Amino acid sequence: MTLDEDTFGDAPVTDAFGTVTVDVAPDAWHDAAETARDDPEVAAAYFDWLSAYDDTDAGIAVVLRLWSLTGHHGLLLRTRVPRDDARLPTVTDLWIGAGWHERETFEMFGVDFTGHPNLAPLLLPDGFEGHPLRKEFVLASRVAKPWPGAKEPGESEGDRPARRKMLPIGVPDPDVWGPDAVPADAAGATPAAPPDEGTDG
Amino acid sequence: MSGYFGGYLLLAALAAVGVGFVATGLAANRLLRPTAPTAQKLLTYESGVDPVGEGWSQTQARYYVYAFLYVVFAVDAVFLFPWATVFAAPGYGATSLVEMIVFLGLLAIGLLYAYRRGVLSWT
Amino acid sequence: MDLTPSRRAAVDLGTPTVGPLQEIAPKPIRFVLNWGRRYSLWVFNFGLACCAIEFIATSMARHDFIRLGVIPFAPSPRQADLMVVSGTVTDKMAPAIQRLYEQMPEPKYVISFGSCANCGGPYWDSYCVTKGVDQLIPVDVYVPGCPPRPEALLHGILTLQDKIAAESLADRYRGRDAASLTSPVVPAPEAAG
Repeated sequence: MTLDEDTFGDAPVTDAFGTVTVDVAPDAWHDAAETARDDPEVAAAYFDWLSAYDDTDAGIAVVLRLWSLTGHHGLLLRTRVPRDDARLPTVTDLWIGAGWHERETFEMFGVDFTGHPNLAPLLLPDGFEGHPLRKEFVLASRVAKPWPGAKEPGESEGDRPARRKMLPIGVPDPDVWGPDAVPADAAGATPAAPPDEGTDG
Repeated sequence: MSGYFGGYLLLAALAAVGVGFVATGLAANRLLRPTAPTAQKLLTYESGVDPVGEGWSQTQARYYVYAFLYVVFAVDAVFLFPWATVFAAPGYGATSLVEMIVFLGLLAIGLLYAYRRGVLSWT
Repeated sequence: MDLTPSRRAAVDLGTPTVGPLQEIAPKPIRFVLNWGRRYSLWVFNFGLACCAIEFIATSMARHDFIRLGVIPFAPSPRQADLMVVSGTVTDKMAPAIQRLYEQMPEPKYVISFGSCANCGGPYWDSYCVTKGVDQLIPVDVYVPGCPPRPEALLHGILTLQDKIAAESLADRYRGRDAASLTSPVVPAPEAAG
């Protein structure tokens, strides 16, 4: 599939692992989806999935995958919304099947889809607080339980020589988060966050 | 006691054994089993979620066909068997035959109705 | 059906008891009764995830737990003696598991099958997984594995049958009053500082 120069305006088009990816601005989200469906060259009328991932500082990236039944090619539409103001227009008017995908993205990432007929949580239990798939959501089990990989099989607690306790991935310093957290001091500055342990935290 | 009452006595004994069999089983169960009633145990079963609506539902009238065909065939058979055993006896004769033919004729009318409604052929 | 508490009059359900014959049964009779109970388990298999497939494989021809007397696929918890929780228990499923366990008639047994049902398994750090079904219901036998082999389930059933052979139903159900079965509400920890 060769995309016309201005099918999607000036949105950058990349080819990642054989899938054409178009990065659009949040304002152009709905128009880009409509263009992808209606443009005769692209003709990606089959809605595959809509989801998101947390791109840390760049915001929350919402991804929409479409497939063209006539052209046999796929298309990834991607946009990035700021973390504290995650809003996007809904695409349920284009594909009604996007309803549940947007509900899941809403409950997992906190992205509000304006115009969605019923944006209620889909999978999480009633009364769940927070948006679990955001990077700042701390997995409480990792805080409470010692990391299984920290010990070799057969090793017991006192064998290792005393060294700085390894924090599992994603677990903040106990001074920052948890029942023993030190509250922010009078000037409002919070204690410094710990350095990253290994891969992206 | 044999003769006239012998048969009835046998039947009564058989009925008593049947009742006693069931009663013994239930009584043994009552005397042996543990009981631990809880409020949740007494709730209506609905796959673990709160039950919705009433447990009673109305039987749909269209299932009358099954009851109807049952009457035609099973009641038919129930009356035919005893009649066939006494049919050839001296006291009975053409009269009983005509009576049975009338009975079968009435059932045949019912069967004709079912046939006309198309319920006797595979869909 | 209205489940609000005010609508249903408070009913005294009584403490758990055992029938009088069971209490006074001498050892030979108890042996026979336990023998009947352990070789006629009807399974309410609570298949939740991959371990359910292993459970089904164990019920099929090659491994076949029916020869141990365990009949699979009870139609509802009301007809079951044994509940095999196989698979990951999520927080959304937890109330249903607890209610279905309650709706099984006594005497009932639970096998926790697979590491997810034992302790959360590979999803021990998830945000919505119940770390082990024993947080909700009492478990008699734990079968470890991810997933356990069908032979492991057979071994688990045999272990349960040995446990039933050695048990006294009167001891199990006597003295279970509300006070011994409940614990006070655990208060939230004090805020630091």
